[in-house]
Parts: sequence; structure tokens; C-alpha cells
Amino acid sequence: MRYIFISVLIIAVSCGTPALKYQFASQDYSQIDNELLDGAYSTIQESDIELIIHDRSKATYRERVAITIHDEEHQKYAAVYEFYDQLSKIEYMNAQLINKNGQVVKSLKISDARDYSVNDGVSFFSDNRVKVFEFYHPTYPYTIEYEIEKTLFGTLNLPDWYPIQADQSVVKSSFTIVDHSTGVRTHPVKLDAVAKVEDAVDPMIYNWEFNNQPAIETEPYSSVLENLPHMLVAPGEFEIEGSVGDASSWETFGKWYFDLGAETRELPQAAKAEIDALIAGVENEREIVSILFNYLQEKNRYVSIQLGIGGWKPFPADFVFDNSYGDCKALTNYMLAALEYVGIDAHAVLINASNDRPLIEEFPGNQFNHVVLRVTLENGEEIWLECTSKYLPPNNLGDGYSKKALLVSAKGGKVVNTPDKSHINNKEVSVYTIQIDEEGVAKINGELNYHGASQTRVLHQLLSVSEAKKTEWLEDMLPSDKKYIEEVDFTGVDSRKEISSINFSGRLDDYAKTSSKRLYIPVNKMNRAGISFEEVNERILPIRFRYSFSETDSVMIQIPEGYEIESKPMFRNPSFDFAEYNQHLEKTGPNSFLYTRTVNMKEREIAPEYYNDLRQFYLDLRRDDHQQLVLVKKDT
Amino acid sequence: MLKSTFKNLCTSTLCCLVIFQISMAQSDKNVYDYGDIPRDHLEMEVYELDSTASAVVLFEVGESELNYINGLFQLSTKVHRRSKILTDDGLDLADVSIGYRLGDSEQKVNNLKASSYCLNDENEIVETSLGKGDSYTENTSSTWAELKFSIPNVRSGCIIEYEYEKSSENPIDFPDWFFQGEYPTLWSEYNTKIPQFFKFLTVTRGYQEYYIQESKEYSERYTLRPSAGPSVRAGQQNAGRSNQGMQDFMVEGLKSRYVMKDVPAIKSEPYMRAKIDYLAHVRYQLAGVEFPGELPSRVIETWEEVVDRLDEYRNYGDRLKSSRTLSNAAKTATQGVSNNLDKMIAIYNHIQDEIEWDNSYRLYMDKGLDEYYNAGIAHSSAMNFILVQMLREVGFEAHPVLVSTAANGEIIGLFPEEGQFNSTITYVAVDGNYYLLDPKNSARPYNILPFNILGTEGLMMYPNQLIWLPIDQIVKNSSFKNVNISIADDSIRGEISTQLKGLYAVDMDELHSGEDFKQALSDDYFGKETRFELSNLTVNSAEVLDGYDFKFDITSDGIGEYSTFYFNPMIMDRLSANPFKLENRTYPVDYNYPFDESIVMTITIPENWQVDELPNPVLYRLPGRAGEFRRIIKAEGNTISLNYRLKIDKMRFMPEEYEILKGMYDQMVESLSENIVFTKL
Repeated sequence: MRYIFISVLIIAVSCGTPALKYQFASQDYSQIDNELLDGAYSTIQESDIELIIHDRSKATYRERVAITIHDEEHQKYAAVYEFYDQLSKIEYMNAQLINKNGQVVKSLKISDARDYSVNDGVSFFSDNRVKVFEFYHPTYPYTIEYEIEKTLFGTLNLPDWYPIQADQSVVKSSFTIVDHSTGVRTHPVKLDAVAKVEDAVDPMIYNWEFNNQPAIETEPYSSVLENLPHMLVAPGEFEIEGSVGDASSWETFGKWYFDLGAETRELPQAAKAEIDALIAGVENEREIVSILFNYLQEKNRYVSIQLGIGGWKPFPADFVFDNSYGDCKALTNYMLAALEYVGIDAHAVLINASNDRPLIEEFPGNQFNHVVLRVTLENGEEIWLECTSKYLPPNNLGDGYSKKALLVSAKGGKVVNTPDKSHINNKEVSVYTIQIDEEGVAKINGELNYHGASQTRVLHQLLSVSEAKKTEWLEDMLPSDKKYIEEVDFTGVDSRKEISSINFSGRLDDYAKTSSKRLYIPVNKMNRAGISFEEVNERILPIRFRYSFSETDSVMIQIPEGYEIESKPMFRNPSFDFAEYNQHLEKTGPNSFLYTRTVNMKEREIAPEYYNDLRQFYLDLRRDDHQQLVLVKKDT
Repeated sequence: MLKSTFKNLCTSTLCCLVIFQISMAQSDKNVYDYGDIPRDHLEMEVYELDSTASAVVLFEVGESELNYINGLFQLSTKVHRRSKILTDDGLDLADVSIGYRLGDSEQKVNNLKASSYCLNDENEIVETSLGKGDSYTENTSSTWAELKFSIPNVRSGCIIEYEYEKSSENPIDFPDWFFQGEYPTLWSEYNTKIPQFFKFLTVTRGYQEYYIQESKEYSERYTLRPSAGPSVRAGQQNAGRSNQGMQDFMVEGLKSRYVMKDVPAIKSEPYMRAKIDYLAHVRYQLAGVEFPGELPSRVIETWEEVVDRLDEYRNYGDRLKSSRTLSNAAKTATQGVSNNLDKMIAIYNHIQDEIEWDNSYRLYMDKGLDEYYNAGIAHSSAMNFILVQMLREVGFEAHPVLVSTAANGEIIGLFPEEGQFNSTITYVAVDGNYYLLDPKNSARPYNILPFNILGTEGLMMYPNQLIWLPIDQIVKNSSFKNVNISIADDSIRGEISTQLKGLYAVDMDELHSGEDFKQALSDDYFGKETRFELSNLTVNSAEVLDGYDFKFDITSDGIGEYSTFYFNPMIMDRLSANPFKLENRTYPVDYNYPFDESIVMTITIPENWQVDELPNPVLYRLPGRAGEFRRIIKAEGNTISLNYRLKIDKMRFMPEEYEILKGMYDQMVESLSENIVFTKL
């Protein structure tokens, strides 16, 4: 009954304002509580979002929003955009801009929208498109009212509800789901709102409200995304391009994905022949995996293709064989087919590649954007393969941290943990000898060693470029405007090794500063910390450091004859809860010194009240990193 | 002696690489038929002229022809491009997009072929071709589409090639050709065949020389109807397709060939304007059509005609009309002002107060000036038109001036097209002087122009006369700091007074309008982690017009705990690294604006201390009075005086001047890091 009443009202009012179908409750946007203005670059005045799931193959999504922009910082939210692809259609899209005096300055309808293909910067082939209204208004505040209706053909990916963005406040926001017996599910994240379920069986109607919320401010070294209240939505039974699945358990969801790719795994005869030749005479299973993976990495390249079935169905194995390219699904599927052919047990594992989205295990559904492969040898040993990388060795998925993921097989899906490699420290060990002459020119020999995630980074930066470009990369790291690398050996940068290493020698012509009688020698010019924290009045969110790492630098410093020490470094060597840090300089001979610097940082969340201590820690560290040895000529 | 030692880099890794010699030049063969792959190209591992390259374009050949087909002159462009992938970073070259226009007078892309060639383990050449269905069309907008494909079977070491033909019925589409791009190019060739009926203007841009540039006449026999022959109106052909009165006809024309050889990749560095201004390319503009037996029809105008037409155009010159609104506004704004210059300034300020710039650069106005004025918001040209009209209302001679911003690219004088401009500024004559004004940004007073048009030329909308005006600024951009520092055992105290003019004052105005000016100043002068405490801030003038003038005191810990003290007097404006890193820069250095920065400093030290060491004075002058860097230090007893200046008087430095300019920055980095040493007696 309520719905009928509202729709009558809409017709009655819309005669006066033809720009929008929907009449917003208040068109006076000038009054906002001070509490909601504090720290807010924009305010959601009214937001009414509806998701109507007609059946497993079709849904309607409707948005009616009035947002007031207070500051240029949130000018971006004045752009109204809606994505669509071959599996969705925007039915209408209307918007208007209201200035601070309450006058409608501009109103737009769907035919006024710009229509682009979406270039996400990753995909080369994609059928994703977007319709956009770009509003601009020079005087703040102003308000955008908009309404959008979209039809979704297929219910695998249902829209989540984000009632608030960072630095934004909310007056009134509501979300309604009308479900016609598909068993849709929701999962609140940092959201207190409790669903009001209407007394109905079919359709089931759920409604949430999120009102009078002050802004959550952005701060560096914190994940605003993790702290923003939102609601995940996942289907029960779903259908996409004729393919039917059930996301209500990990088992059924995994089964659907497995079956989707089942017919794509037939290797062509030529591929089988190549594989036979490669592994002829090789008995050891681990070796076979290594040979086949190497073959995959050398032959193929990654091209992102987001077409059809919502970007879910892998391109078949014969396509990858013929073309030598594919996206993560196609390359993983191809490797899986190759392993199946040689009789080694392997399964695709769906993961979320971004680090700030840990799997919510109690909420089955599509929480994934990437796929890797898990191989199980007969002796039970597991080998994990990242099939889109041309360089990562077996058992290195790039990040080194264990995360929950979904293994898919004929039996269905099962939540597993990716391997925990954090015992392999992300570690850099550097050893230099630096011989300085009276002109301040340094002859340098260096040995750089990279472990763990540091190695991953170095592999990707170096293995893809020419020898001369590698030398440029090394030069860019050296702290000097006038640097000459004389010899360098990159053969130690090797994905098959646990540690990658680089050896080089050369000259840094402006290493030390000179004057008529002095030499200023920085003891740590090679590796100075770059982090700094601004002075703030009050820190609200915890400070989050995502990576554990350690660095060890040793520098043998050789000074020229005929100088005496005038001034030596004084290190403060600050310490902090999550960090061990030490610098030391010792005289090892009449003209030689040994400088050492060790840093151990642990992944840690630091409570906001320690912000100033942390800031001071980095100030001291920075000061220590800039210490110098001053020499003066003996005869003066 | 200090040359880079890349070539001495002959460690074991490099010696075994096959370095690609330009040995092909001996046989003078640079271009090969599709599928004809010389083995040595496949074996090549490093490109000698730029060993950092991850791919090279081995050759690219374009052929654009206008041929008479089915009663029309049709444009066809064949492109054949072959590249060598040297490392995995170059694999991107195998993902290709070819853009073309949709809708009215649609372009077509046909005859696409694409292949890869690799050596297999047996050292045989393996060719893989793009499958028929393996390309996709993506409509990026309603008027533009892209044909996209990924070339199959590509690894580093492979060669890829593709060819296609793009056609159009509109000769105005005659394509430009880029000889230079993201990767080095060994051979880039453009062949054109243009019948005498079509008159094109061509211009070559960029900083590379032609290796071959030649033209020869040709003649071909066609059958056509001269009496009602094809004609081109605004670029559209209107050909009679009837067979009546057909006759044979000789068409004469010109075939041209342009080749560039060994073209380097463009590598980005600071001080660049729009990239298109640097890339080597040739551009075509259809100027007119002359069919036999018909009066010549001109497609392009002269600049005079452009100005005349724009002057009468409904959405441009015709918008300049007297109106009660603007007339009243101008009179109100100048009420009680007698001096002419002050009147001009009053109107300029009035527009800045009343109208907001909508942040867009546009040329045409789809509304009347009154409407923009009343709405209080306008684009770049509309704001200036209102200014012109209001100035006229109170009797000034004022005219619009067409300009192009840096991001929009340089004006090609040879092509009289208003489409090259993207904005308008204002010319006004006052008491025998003239001023150029642009009121868009309210932080800029009348005497300061936006830097993105400085150094360009503007076309004045002046009836019956062609006038190009150099866009220069009246006020110089200068920063002057007077610093007195006294160093003592218990503290270091200083007083810094600053005077800023021109664009320096505009920048400071932005800091000044922020929340915490003192903190912003501290960050701007000394960085986030400073040892100086800032106090007693006095602002004498916060007017961009007359310049900013303010002073403040600084304090820091004293030197009592030391027996020797190392003091770098450049407590601010210290350059820590040279912005110029390239060994050679193949395109000019473009400063945004000329500038002059100076510091005069006096340092005193206590009686019981003495100066032990002073840095040497340094003066580095650029040839032709183009700029200088100086840092002079003198000591007299316990007083040290320092004089610093960095001045750039010219906006563009050509590639041959790069080395000496870069040298000046090297000198600055070195000198500005030097210490004064004090010792305790």
C-alpha cells in the first residue's frame, strides 16, 4: 500500500518539475547541522537505493540521491556516472544542479550523458561502458540531485551499498532490497543498521537506514576503505548468460565456477606433443611442474580481456595455445589443462589480489578478482603458481602473505589458505666499499641482495628491460648527479633463486663535498629513510604499516691520506615499539671506517595516541641518516 | 673524461649479445615486403643507438593517395609497420588500436593483416597470423571507434608486423604522419600521391631532420565528366555520377616521399609543453580544390578571412554588442574614477568580482554576454568578451585576441584555422599604451597574465588588418629576500624580509589565503622538518598587484656546544638535484615564464669565533644574456655577506643549448651545498 501511495504522489508533483521523476523530500539544502558539516567536503542529504530482484536472471537497481558539495575536494562527487555492459541496461538517468540559493541551474537527462568505453588502465579488451554527467559549479555549496534506474540481466554481481564515503557526512540514507525468492544475502561491514524486514514472504522486503552520520576523515597510513561502513550483497541462486549457479555456500559457488571452465580445458594435439617432448624422461613430479610452468611463462603473455559472462568464463586452452596470450583465468586454466594432461593434481584458487580486502568467510559470494593455481604432488607437497607473471618462481604468489581463498574442484568450492611466506623476510642486504679521494670522488663497489617481496619487486623491474636500462635503474638508485657505473653484473637477478643479487663497481664524482681544506663525508648516502609525518592536532584512526621488512647496510669507508677527523657523527638511534633500528660507525684502521645500519620493521597497527612518538621517531631517524664525517687536512 | 661508460660496459653478459648494426644501410634496404623477414633482424638483441630500448620500430611506411574511383576522388591510406620486441617491456607493442571516425562521412579500416615471427629452438622462423575473428571493435564514443587486436604468439626477441588500409571519401581527412613516438624508429616513411586538383598545405614539425624529402610529378588517365565534375564544398565531394558526356582525362599530380631515419624515442623531462609540439610529424591541411572547367573552390581561408568571418560569426564576434546591462555595469564600476588606467583596472576588477570562471577553455559563446554576466559564470572567452564590451562601453578601444594555451599546442601560422585556438584574451588601448588582460583567475591582478599563454602569439580581432601580438607580461616575475642572521652560542636568530612580484606574488597569495599562513610559509621556506622556529610575521603588503612584502624572524639552537660549526647559508632555496638528467635532449627546454630570484644575506658571528673557511664565489652566465647563476660570499671580520641570484630571461632553450643549461644546474647543486666553517678561538 505504501508504495502505491508514493507513486501517486510522484506523478502529482512531477508535473511541476519535469526534470526528475522523483521528488526529493526537501529541496532546501541550506540547513545542515554543524556536527554534520565538521570535516565534511560533501553531505548526502537524501539517498534512497532500491534493489529489486525479480528472479535469478533479472534485477532492477534504482538510485535517488541528493548530495551537497561543500568543497572543491569533493567536486568529483558532482560527477554522476553509471557503468553498464552487455549484461545491463541503464533505463533512465536524470540529474539537476541546484545552487546555494535553491535555484535549479542545470538539468540533464540520459541523452545529455557522455558515453565512454571504460578504460580501467588494465584491460585491453573490455565491453564495459559508462554514462556520465559532469557538473561544474564554481560557488559552493551546491547540490546535485540525481536518479538512475538500471536493469541487470544476470544476478551474479549485485551492487553493494556504500552509504558514506570518506570525508562525507550523511543526513538520511536508506537501502531496500525486494527479493522474489532468490535467497539474496547481505553482510554488514562496520555498519550498525539492522534490517527491517517487512511482513511478507514473497517478495521479501528488507530495509536499512543510515542517518545523521558525521564525516569520517581521511588520514595517511590508514585504510579508510576498511573503516567505512558498508553492506555487501550476494545472490543466492543466480544466473548469468544462461549459466545457473548458487552462491549461498562456498561449495556450490565453487562448483559453478569449476563447471563454467570445464569444457575449456581440452588441449589441442599440438600442445600435447610439445608437452610430451618437454617432459620426456623426467620422472620427478616437482621437476615436471617446474618445466611446465617455465614453458607457460616463456611462451605466453598477459593481456587483460573482460568480455562475456561478466568476465568469468576463461578463454579455452586451445585459444591460449594458438595465440600465446590470455588473462588470469585463461592462463591459469591453460596451466591446469597441461597438468591434468600429465596426470598431476591441480586446482584453480580464486583470490582477491588487493590486500585491504580479506575474505569474509562467513559470507559466500563473489569476493574475488584474481585466480591462481594450487598443485598437489603425490607426496602431498603443495606448489602454488601465479600464472600471469612471467617471472615469479613456483611457490611465490608475489605478496608473501597468507590469505583465505576459494579452491574450486569438481566437488565444489572449499576455503583454503594461500601459503604463508612471511618467514622469508622481505629483506635487503647491501654491502659497499667506498674509497674517497681528495676531490670527493668515491670509487664504489656494491653488492645488493634482495629477499622476499623485495626480490619480487626487483624481478619485475629488471627482467623486463634491456641490459642498458637495468644499468639506468641502478644509476637512478645511486645518490649522485654524476655517477658512472663501470662494471655491473645482473646475472644474479634470477627468479629461480631465493635471493637475487646485483654486483657493481663505479664512480660517484660528487659523493663527498670538498672545500679547500675539508672533506665532508656522508656516512649513509645510499639508504636514507623517506617517511615523514606531518604535525597534526589529533590523530583519529590507527596508523597501519602493512609490510614487515628488514634492511642491513654495511659500508667500508676508505679516506685519503693526510686528513684528520674534525667531527664525527652522533647517532640518536631512536627506537619504537614496532621498529628496531641501529646505526654505528667504527674506526677499523688508520684511514678506514665501517658504518653499519640495521632496520627491522614489523607489520603493525599503532594506536592513534602514539602518533607524536612515531613522528619523533622518524624525525630522529632522518637526522641520523644525514650524519657526516668531517675531515680536515693535517698540514693546515 | 667524465663521459658515461656505457660503451665500456663489456662485461661477460654484454659481449655475447648480438648488437644490431645498421648494416642494412650497406644494401640500402630499409623496407621489406610483408612476411619477408631478414634473419639478422630476428637475431638482433640490442639496438645500438639506444641500448635502453625495449623495442624498436624497424620500419613504418604510410601511403596516402587520392584516386578517382566510381566517380569520386577517394582517399586511401595504407600503413605497414614492423617492430622488433627486444625485452618484455616492449610486448605492449603487440596490443594495437586503430582509431577511426564513425557517423557522417564514416571512415573504414580494411585489409587488416597482423603477424608475429619468432625463432624456435631449431632456429627456424615461425610465423603466426592474427585469426580472422580475433579483432574487436570498440566504440569509444558516438563519433569514434577503435579496431583492437593483440598479435598472437609474441615473446621478446620476436618481430611483429601489421598492415591495414584506412579509407575515406573526404579528402579533408588526409592523414598526418608521425615519424617519432614512444620507441626508437629506424625508418619512417610517408608517401603521398595528390592530384593537382587538390591543394594541400603541409608543415613539418618537431626537431628531427628528413633523411629523404623528394617529390616528382605523375600523370594518370581517368575517365570523368569535366562539365559536372566532382567538386568539393567544405571538404565534401559532390560528384556527378551520370555517365553522360564521359571523356578521358589526364590527371597530373605530385608524388612525394618523406623519410626520417634513426629517429630517437621522446623521453620526458621537466620543462615540457604539449608533447605534440616536440614530436616529429608532418601535417596536412586541404586548402582548396580546382577542377578543370570549374572555378577554383577554396576550402581554407587566409588569416584575414578567418578574422573577418569570426568577427561576424553569431557565436563569436557578433556577441560583442552594446547592452544596457553591460553599459550600466561599466558606468557603475567606473563611477568617480577619472584616470583612464584606473578606469580600465576598475572594470577588470569588477569582472573578477562578479563573474566566476567555469574552469574551461572555449572559443564560442552559445549565449549572449548579458546572460553570462547575469549567471555570474562564464568560460574563458565569454569572460574576456564581457571585458571587451564593458571597456568599449566607457569609450576604450578594446578587441578580443585569440590565443592557444600551452596544453593546447603551438599555433601553426601556415594553417589559417581558428580551431587551433582555444581561448580569448583582451586587448585594450589606454593613453597611447596597450595592455593585454585576462580576468579569469581572481588571484591575478590586471598586470599579470596566466603563464600557460606567456611567450605565445595571439591573433587580434582587428578589422581589415592582420595583427599578431606577442603575449608578454608587464610585470617581471621576481623574488627578493633580504636575510640577516646572527649566530651566537645560545641561539641562531634571523630576520628575513621578502618581496615578491608577478607570478611569485600570485603563488604566495594562494598560500596566504590558506588556513595557517605561518605554517605554510615555514613549509615553503624550510621544508617540513625544519630546525627553525618562525615568529613575528608582519605582512606589509598582501597585494598581488603591487607585490607581496612581508617579514618574519627565525630562531634555532645556538652553537655553544661545538668547537667547529659547519653552516650552509642556503637555509632556503637550495637545489638538491639537477632536474635535467638526459645526456642529450632532442627537444627544447620550455620554461613557463622568465624569472629572477635573489637573496642578499648578512651573517654575524660572535667575537670568540672566527671564519675558518668560505666557499669560493661562483658566477655562471648563459650565452646571449639568457640567464645566470651567481653566489658570491665575502667575509669582513666577523661579518659575512652573501649574494645569490638565479635568473632565466628566455623561455625556450634549443637542444644545442641544453648542455650549457644543464651545466649551470650542476654548478648550482654543487655550490649551494657548500658550507661556511666557523671555529671557536
